[in-house]
Amino acid sequence: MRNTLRLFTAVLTLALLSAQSGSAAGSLTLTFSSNASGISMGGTGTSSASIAFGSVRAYGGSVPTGVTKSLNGTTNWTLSTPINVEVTKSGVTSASYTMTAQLKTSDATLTWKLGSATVTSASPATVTTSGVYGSSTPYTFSLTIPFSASARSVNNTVDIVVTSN
Amino acid sequence: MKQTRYVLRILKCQKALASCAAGVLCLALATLSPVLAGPARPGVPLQPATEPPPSLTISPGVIMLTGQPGQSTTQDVTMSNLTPRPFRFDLEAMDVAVRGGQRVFVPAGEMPRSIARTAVFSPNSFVVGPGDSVTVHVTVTLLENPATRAIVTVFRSNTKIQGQDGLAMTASLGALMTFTLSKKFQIESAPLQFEGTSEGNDLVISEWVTNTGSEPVVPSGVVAILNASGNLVGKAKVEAMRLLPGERLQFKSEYPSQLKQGKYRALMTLEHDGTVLTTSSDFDIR
Repeated sequence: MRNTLRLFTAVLTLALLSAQSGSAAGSLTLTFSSNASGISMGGTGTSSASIAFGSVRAYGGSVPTGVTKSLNGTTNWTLSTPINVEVTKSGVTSASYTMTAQLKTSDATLTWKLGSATVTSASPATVTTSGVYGSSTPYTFSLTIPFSASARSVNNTVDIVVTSN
Repeated sequence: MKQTRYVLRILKCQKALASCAAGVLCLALATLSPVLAGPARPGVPLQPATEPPPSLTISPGVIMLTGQPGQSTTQDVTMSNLTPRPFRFDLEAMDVAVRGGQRVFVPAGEMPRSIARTAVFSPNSFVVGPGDSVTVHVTVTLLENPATRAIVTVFRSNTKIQGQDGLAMTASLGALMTFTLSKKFQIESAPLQFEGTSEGNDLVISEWVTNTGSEPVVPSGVVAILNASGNLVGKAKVEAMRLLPGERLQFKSEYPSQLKQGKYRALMTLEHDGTVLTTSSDFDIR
């Protein structure tokens, strides 16, 4: 009986020690919007958006307004467009934000980039570690397609995570 | 006290007008709030309030905790949906490691002694409707010699606007949680750097600072400019930035006025946790 009581006391002490002092502050808001030089995005001005490239091909044809197509030698070709991301803060002691991006579904054929970061499904790619609060910042989204790739429909989702630094 | 009374009256009015059109509500608020909006000018028509853009907001954005290994803590983090559609979120924790002086998010459990791996969310997924908020309880336990001093609790969005073909983007927001487990605070700085040292240009003074200690720090400070006689010419603020152990950031200050040609000395002083680090260097304005 005495042993049981001692054990109970020990558990209770551990639980009481678990309280920590700390501080929690502020809030963080993220908004996507179309860039004047870029493609018109679905869901613009919200925290979810889409880019529809339509049907495009390496040689000939046309691309939607705001999308740039470039041929890279004989290896591949790239579609790119700028998008705007705006992050605002309120009451947070933080000089900048970190933004990462990750594909929902793996894609072994195409190369997805946001800014200079290559975005894959394996792990979050760091797009910026010094994002500026309160300004609509353009990031170029690009999709590089090898000439060897067969024609297909391209559907994927980029998950963008924003965190205060 | 007066301000409190006004706010209460406005809240009561908001409730009363909840079923009215938004324009009526805005007008009512503008009429009611001379303290908040300033006096109305006769003959100037009242402008309707600008609607904030649709957005998702996480609060708090940063949680700074102090404790000992073996302790656990539960924190509340709230997601507010200010968009016209419901959003679904799944909760996930990631360790925030520092590699090559920069932060990297590492999936929970990938590193030994991962704090993120101990995270428990209640609920661990939810749907938040338009105009609503959902609060999640996040419980983490500090391990002995943890791999990092920070984790991020990611509210990963599973709602997307999908076009016919192409790319959909989802916005996820993370709350940073930092952990201070000891008094081993230390930062080191590189020599001061100067930009815009020609007369008439905007002067920018900066230095790279590395957290060489074991704990997160948030240094902030001031740059003082002295002239050749050693007299104070002016000061400029250095904005606070968070440095995790091993992290390296450039602390910058823009001097608010222009200096005449001559010789000067700059002293950048950064303060954190009761410690002061001062770096000085001479420079010329030509």
